[in-house]
Amino acid sequence: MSSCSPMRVAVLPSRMADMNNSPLITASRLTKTYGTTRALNGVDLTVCAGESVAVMGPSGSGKTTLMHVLSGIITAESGTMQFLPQSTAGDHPVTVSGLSSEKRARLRRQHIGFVFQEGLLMPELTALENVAVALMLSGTPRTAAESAAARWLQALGLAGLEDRRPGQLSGGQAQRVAIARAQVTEPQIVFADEPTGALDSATSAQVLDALLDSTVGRGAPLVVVTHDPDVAARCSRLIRLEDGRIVHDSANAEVGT
Amino acid sequence: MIRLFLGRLFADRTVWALPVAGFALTSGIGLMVFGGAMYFYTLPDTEDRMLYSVYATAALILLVIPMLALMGSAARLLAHRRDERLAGLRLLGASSGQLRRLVLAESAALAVAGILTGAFLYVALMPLVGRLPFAGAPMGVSGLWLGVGLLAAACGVLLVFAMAAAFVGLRRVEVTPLGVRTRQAPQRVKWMRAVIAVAAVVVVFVLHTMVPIRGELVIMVVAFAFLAVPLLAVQLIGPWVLKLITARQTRRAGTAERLIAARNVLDSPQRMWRQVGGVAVAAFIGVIAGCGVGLISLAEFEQGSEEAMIFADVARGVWLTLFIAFLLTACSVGLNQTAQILDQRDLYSGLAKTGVTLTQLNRIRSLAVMRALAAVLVVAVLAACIVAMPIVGWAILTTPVSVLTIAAVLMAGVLLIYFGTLVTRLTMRAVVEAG
Repeated sequence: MSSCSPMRVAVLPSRMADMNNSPLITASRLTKTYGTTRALNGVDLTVCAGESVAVMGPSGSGKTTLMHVLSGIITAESGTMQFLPQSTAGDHPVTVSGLSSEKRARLRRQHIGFVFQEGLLMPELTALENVAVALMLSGTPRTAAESAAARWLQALGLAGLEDRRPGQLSGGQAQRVAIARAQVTEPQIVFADEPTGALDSATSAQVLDALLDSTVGRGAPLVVVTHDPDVAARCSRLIRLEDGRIVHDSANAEVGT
Repeated sequence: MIRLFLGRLFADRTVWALPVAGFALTSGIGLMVFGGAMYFYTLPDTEDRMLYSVYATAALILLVIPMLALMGSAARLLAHRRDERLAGLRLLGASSGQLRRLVLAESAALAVAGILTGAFLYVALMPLVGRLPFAGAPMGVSGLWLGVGLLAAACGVLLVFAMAAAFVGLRRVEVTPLGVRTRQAPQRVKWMRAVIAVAAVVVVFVLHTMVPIRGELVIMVVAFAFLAVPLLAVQLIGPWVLKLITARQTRRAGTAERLIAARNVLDSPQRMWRQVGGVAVAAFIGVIAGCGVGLISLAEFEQGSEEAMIFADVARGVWLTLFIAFLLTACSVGLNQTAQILDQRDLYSGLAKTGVTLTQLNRIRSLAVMRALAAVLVVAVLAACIVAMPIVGWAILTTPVSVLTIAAVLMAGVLLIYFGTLVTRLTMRAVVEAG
């Protein structure tokens, strides 16, 4: 259940290019309880570079809790969660559950990208600034951050829309800005929570293309929490959760090879 | 429908607590100030009564702006806290007229609760405030007591103000089936406001110097106009100047926090001005207080003389008005910032998930308020100095004791407002922790 499956997209030249199939996250026996509800009940999971993992399951099965624990937003009550940075030679495995909330925040800011269902862009900033801010928050100078942001917006087909505010963009455009924001820091892993949940099917397919190409395409893994079978069908690996347990974990035959 | 919702209004503390607190504070302070003014209006009929009445009226006029700002903040906060219900009703097909009636009915219910709490505060604090000595004796509880009839009338006026604030507040939010949000498009600040403001000030100055004025009442009216017109001019010109200053800050922002803070202000300079604009009034009073201290330092009063007593009373009244203006502004900032955090709670919890720390989020909010505050202070102090110059002269205005007093007053006010932003950190923490 915890092995890595083959990935769908050929690895592009990037700092993660030679990390294909090496584990990035290893979680073992994770448990998490809310009141009397056990959201996670002994979950073992490994996520490897270059794979796209769809996490499915009924409402209340623990999908979002699993994403939050894997990304270090919250910690599990028991079990261990290790993050294995692969960007530089000197990086060592980090036991995420043992970090303070400040250190986990820094880990997320530097190594993890997020895409949410609602986009969650800052309404008062332009598209360019929304993307650049992700880099600036880690100390990158504004000019360099805006150059990188402009490149990502262009790569995602948003050239010419840099000065628009989120309220002036369509749902699909806004979600691609959110993807650019998640990618601009070149995170080692990207988590997406129902990234196409608020979009129509045609726009949904375009946004998923952008998300897969920009993440898996550069060799980083993508973990998508979704209810949508069409989204899951596009991922290289499918995990199904029920009552806080993984009841199914397999490579997606259609996509996998 | 309205009766059904009113019945459930007080079931959720998170919906009513802050707006009621805002209404209560405004009402409590407003009633106390009104009670104080009535004390001066009903002093024994002497020459001094006229003088005290003029000062009391001036204080009332000066405090109207920060009081309205605080009431408006409470009303807007109320609209934001009912977003799910309003959006749900919109989804079910409720018309905007029905929603408006519902919001106004709920606002009225909460305003009544706040005003009654404020009246209780007023009564409870009377023994303490009554100890303040004016006109040679403490005001006392009986001096501050408005009487049942006048108290009821004052509460009625406050209710009308609260309803007006709720109505204006509702125009600034958009109720859609997907939620309630502040209007997205950046608000335009018209340069015509600046032209009108400057023209009004010039007219008042010209009239003041050119037209011969006779009669006590006319002198009083002209004196109030001389004070009120520049103050209103600052309120008109302020958002426009704030926009110019913040646009420059946006271009030059080198860090994410400064960029977001500047954009937040630039998004609606009027909204930020409404929060901190009350400080303009306080800065005006601060400059007047500074000049007063400068005058006293140069004058030679006989110990215990009536002149000395009046000067001491005026100084006390000015400090009191100043403190109230800063307190109201600090509360307005606290409520507005809380409303904004709650309005954008999904965004803030999302940013926290991506690794933005609570410290960074708080710094963004703090920067937005404090940098706007600095701009407001510069505009207001400049305007106040222009007004004060022909009255007291350059020599008094630049007396070291005047300058030091003005600086100390402004510093104290800035600290009080900074404290107002600190209070919102609890809300930000709660929003982030709720995920």
